[in-house]
Amino acid sequence: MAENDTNNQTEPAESHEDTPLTGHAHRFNSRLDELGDGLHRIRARRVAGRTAVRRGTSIGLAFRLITELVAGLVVGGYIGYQLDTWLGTMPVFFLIFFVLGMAAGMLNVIRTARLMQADMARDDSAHEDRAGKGSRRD
Amino acid sequence: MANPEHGGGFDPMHQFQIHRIVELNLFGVDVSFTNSALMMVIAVALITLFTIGSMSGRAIVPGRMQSLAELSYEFVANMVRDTVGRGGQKYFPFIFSLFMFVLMANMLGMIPYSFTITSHIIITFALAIVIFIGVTTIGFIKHGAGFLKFFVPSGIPVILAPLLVVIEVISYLTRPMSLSVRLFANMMAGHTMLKVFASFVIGLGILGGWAPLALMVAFTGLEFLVAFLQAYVFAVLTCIYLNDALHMH
Repeated sequence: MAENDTNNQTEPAESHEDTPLTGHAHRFNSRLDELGDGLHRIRARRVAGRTAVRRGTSIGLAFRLITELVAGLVVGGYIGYQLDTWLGTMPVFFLIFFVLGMAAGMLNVIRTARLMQADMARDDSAHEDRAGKGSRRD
Repeated sequence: MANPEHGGGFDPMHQFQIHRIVELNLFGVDVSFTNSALMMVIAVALITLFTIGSMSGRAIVPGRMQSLAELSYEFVANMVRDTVGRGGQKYFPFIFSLFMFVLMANMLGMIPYSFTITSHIIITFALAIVIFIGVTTIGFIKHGAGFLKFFVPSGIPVILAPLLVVIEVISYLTRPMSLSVRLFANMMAGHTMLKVFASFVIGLGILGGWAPLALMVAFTGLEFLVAFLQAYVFAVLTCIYLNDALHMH
């Protein structure tokens, strides 16, 4: 009985394909596929464009890291210099805080780099997600 | 190359010069209305005109300008939601104003013969220090003295603690510095580069001037990207600092 049921269900579908009308349906399906592919391509391109804008140029990324490093040095040196002029111990605090500023700068560089890495990983996974969803919808 | 000694000398830094338009002196302090102030007024006026003007229709199906306004709103709203998360929407108006002001200032600077407000470090530093003080105040209001724990990394040996706390404090103090220097240096370097390349076009004449001219076109496109990107980075870093103050990692 079960076999009969499945046969009954498949038969009309097959006969449908054989009728002249199915040419129409077939063309419709292929057109649908075509549109789906196009949509998928556009969506992928848009996501890629957005990530490119978010990431910016590589020189921008490098510049961000450099400013972090230099800012650490400048701020550390400035604090040391001010302490020295205040206490009258000229090179002592300047040198100490210059080194500490360097350490702070390195810390900032590592933090910023980690942030960038997390950003890129998230963008990549979002990209794959969206691409995957697109192909499934097709 | 043009020689500065001769008349019509070439000076790539000339574009950053500030000159007084209306001389004003308030209690011995020079508060003259300068070309920089004029551009700031224009930027704020344009932003106000853009947001209020384009949204006045309140159409269900938005037109071009309304779409643009809604797009910028959603862009900043998403940024705040993604980076600050819970409790961040309260600070949305400030982030939005900040982003729009920096973006408009950068974009207005791209118009030939105009003035780039953000190419002066005092402007970017003033913005950054306001953000820095505001965010630190928010941190202390939200967490009280507990905000000081932000400077103590978790799970460190007691002997190293004083050293690391000092480094953390310095690292915290560099924030306004790196925030302002990044924006200012990007804008100034880009505009100076454009000017220098423009002088090459004149210097090489009609025969050799085409190569730098082609580069100029490419660089102008890049400068528009940088103008947008720097406004975005400025706003996003403000959000990150705000997130640190609100949630302490």
